[in-house]
Amino acid sequence: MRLRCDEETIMQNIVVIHPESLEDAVQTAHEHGSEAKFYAGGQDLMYRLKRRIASNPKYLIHLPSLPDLSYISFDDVNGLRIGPLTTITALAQSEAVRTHYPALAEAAEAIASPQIRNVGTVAGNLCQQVWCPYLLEDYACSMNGGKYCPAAVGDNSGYHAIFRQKKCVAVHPSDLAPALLAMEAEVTVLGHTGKRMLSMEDLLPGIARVGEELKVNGLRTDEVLFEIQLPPPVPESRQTYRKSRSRQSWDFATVSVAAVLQLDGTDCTYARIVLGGVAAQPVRVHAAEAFLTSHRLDVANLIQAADLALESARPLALNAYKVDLAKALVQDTLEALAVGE
Amino acid sequence: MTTDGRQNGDLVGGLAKSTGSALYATDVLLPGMLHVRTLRSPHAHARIRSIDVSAARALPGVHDVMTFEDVPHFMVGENSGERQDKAILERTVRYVGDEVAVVAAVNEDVAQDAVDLISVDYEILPAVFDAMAAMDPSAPRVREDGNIARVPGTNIGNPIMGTPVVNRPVNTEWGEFVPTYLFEKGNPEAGLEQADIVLEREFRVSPMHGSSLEPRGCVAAWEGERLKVWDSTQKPFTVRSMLADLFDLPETQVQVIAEHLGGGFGTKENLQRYQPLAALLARRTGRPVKYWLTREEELLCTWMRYGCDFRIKVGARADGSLTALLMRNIANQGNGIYQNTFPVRVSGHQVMVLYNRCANSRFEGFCVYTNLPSSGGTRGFGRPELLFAVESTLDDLSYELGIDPVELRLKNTVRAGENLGDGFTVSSVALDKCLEEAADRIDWTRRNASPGQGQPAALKRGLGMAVAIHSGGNTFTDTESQLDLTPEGRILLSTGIPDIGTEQETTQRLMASRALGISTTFIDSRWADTDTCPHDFGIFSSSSTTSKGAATIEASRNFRRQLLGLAGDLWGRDAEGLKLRDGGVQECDGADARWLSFATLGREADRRGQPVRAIGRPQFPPRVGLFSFATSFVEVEVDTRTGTVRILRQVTALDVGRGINPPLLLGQTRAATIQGISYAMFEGLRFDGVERGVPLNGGFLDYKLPTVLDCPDIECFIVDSHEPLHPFGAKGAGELAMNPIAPAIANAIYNATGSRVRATPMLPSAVLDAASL
Repeated sequence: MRLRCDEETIMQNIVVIHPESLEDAVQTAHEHGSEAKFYAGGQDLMYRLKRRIASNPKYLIHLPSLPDLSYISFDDVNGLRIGPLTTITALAQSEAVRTHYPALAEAAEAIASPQIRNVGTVAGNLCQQVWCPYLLEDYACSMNGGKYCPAAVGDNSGYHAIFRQKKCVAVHPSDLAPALLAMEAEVTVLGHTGKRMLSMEDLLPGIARVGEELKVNGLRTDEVLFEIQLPPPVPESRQTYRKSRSRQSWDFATVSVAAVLQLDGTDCTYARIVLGGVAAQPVRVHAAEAFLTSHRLDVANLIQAADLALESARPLALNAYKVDLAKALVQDTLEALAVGE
Repeated sequence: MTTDGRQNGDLVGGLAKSTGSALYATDVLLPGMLHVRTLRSPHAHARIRSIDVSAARALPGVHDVMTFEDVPHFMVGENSGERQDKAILERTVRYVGDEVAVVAAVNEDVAQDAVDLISVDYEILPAVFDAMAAMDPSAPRVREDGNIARVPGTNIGNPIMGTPVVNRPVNTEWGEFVPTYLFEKGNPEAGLEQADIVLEREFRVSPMHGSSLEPRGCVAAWEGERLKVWDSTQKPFTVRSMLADLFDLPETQVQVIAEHLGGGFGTKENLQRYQPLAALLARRTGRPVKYWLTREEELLCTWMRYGCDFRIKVGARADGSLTALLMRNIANQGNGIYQNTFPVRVSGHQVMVLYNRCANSRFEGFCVYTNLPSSGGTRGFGRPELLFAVESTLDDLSYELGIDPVELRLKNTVRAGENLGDGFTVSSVALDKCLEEAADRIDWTRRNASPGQGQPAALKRGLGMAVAIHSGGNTFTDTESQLDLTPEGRILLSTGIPDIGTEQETTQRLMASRALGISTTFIDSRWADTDTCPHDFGIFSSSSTTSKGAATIEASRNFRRQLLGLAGDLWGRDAEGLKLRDGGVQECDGADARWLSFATLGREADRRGQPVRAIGRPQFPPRVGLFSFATSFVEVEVDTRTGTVRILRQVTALDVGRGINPPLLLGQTRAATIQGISYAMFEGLRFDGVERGVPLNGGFLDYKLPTVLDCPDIECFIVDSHEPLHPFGAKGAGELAMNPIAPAIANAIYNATGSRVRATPMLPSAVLDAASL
């Protein structure tokens, strides 16, 4: 059991590096390899450092002191660009986001608590670690040097997958990721060799163990998020993000759904539906999307779309309820969009 | 001065708390003070083969390290007045988090670094986590004498009430065992024979934590041969007496101060390990020592509300009158008794009192040791657990019989003056008024006549209710209140009770002012310091307004007589015809109506060397039980697709006698209701019950308390009632409202959906599971 909470001790053992620029930051990260970690808002990192989850880094590369990494800009042609250190609160309150990408604002507003949103960053939300009690309690699980996943056979009633996963059944906790995937966002990442573009699928490919590191995103060790880009909103589309959780504030999603629909009367001409909290990455439900774009939007069809969205779900022993929760959430979300609520 | 609470703005601790000057034990900073961190067992059950603390001792800044080899053998666990189970430190560790060693160092960081340098060689022992599994004779033994806790002396005879108690083995699926508690009245088997209908139901409640805002801890400092302890405890005098015992000192050589607590909820009673450890470290190092638990330690290394497995069997005639009530509680005691096993005992006993009109009843309470954290009393003290099972079963019974659940309660619950056996009676009951008024407020007629029927939509609504009993403040007599007249003419009220956050000092002062017949503005308060206050039992069991209040009222009446006597003496007249008025004594009979200020009287008493001082003790007649009652009505909306439950309305009616300070009382009731909702729908400590006994939600991030967004409006009110045992007609109220909430919600879910949830917390998964049965 990890029963300690003493920031100071940890801070004594960690060197905090203030880089000159983002390029300098990734160069430094490249030099120190897995001994260094980036510090953005610190909301996920500090908790894990305090509890000494996994090995603590020797170096923290402190990004908040760098200029020009917090911005939101929008134009009709190029869409939305978000700086990596933009706080969740800034994102939620942005007029451009609220007007053109309301689901993203809703997702931001649903994150954690106001205090955490004020400090936590968009990059940090996308790059946060998974939240499995066995991992947090330092079990020798398959992601931590062990041979099996204790959550797969033990208490998997919480933040665990309802879609089949090998080795590790944890889910990705981000609220922003499902919304961004539904809006076809891309991210630019910067490493010591330069920039590259990643789709949301490439950014969050699932959970893997690489050497001593638990990898929950597609970034290389020396890479940071440089910018998040969203294309202009689909014309005449409606979008929303809904989150089901065990309490109404300060909680990860039990399940969540982000949906974008383009409607022509009762016909759906474009659909993008993404589930959150159900797998190691946001899950796009293609079958439901295809069904919606080929059927009238009546209640029976919406229910069928919701069923299709969860068709391939394979819940664990204690989380079958999440399938029901997700179905109802998809149905309610689609209904709300269909009637234009 | 009024009794309707119009003076409630006049809070004794209000200014100090709002300006930050109120002294909490954790605020105490002393020169040279050392800080403590703890090495805790990573194993659920192990024996320490060897332990090497040399590297920890050698670390600069470390002043002392103690293991079981360094501490005297002294039991801190207490049950029925007997010390048992838990020593200060032990060679055997019995749960993940058990104390192995403590380090005192210049700060917490150095202490923690030293803890990390201690190496322990453990011999790992087999462990058991589930209470039912631990009942099996072949299960690993958590304690040498077996896994069923034995309580010396209390299973024979019955000091509280007249319910017969028997001491004999009972049949279980694991064999014949003597339960920790066995209460029996009439002939339960014959009662089942007489029944037209018999229902048998099983329930499981999860362990919960009191979750005080402030974790536990203390500062201990020696001044020569005198020990001074600032402690976050509900029972400063108990802590004093046990520490005096540990160090073989007269009690007057130990001072315990506990002015303000950041909550307690019953979980800060009695001695725990941290106080003797801090006092020993302070003794050995010659420095003041602060030992404060972290939030995780507070959640997992103190004690929880019991997790229980219940079996309830009820027999009734077709008209709804109960012929038999059989209850079995297999309560997970955890690794050892810290406080006592009373919650299990009191719950069984009081539910038998509540349904006293049922002639045949039995309660079997097994307190079963496992390798989990300890269990003990937490707000409601056993009753929320057992009432969840009993009130849910009776709800089923009412629908089976086609009788209104309210009618079923009215028919079977205890009435004032009723014989409880052995000549014991219940002093006052106004539960009928509670039921009628609460049913009226929520419009009980709106409930579904047939559960779950006639609501085709996914969102189904329903109404449910439950009743509850609680100790009405008890008839404790082991407490004193004291009033002094200072030379400056101030009246000083001294009580020993800590302010647990309920502003009990305000209520005590209100009662004193009423007994004296003067405004509270002339009365100062002093409390929770064992050096300056008369003896007190502590703040617990919703007893302060009643038992402690009776002492304060008695002291005040005595004090008033003395003041009038002194004034009469100065005037050379009889005290008859004098009264207290406007900060002095007034003649009511003479034409010139003389008046003497308290200051004059104070100076005179001081000059004479005859201080005006009165000490009061509560007095209660024997063989009369003091009980509070409540009912809670709930309206819910259940999303039958997902199992999500929303509380639409919540009405609680209280039979607590006369409210001394209704705003404070109702504030506490709202909080108890929210804690009840939290118990019903949110909280449950979960452990890896298969492999290691490790907590899976041992922090506030994963142990989910509701936020304000999750709480409905709470409607609560006091019905007209009067308690003859209390001088001002009051009964205890602090915990009561917690007790009926969980079953009321479960019964509302049943009324909405026709599905019976049999476990807490009632998370969506549990509601869905219930629906698929």
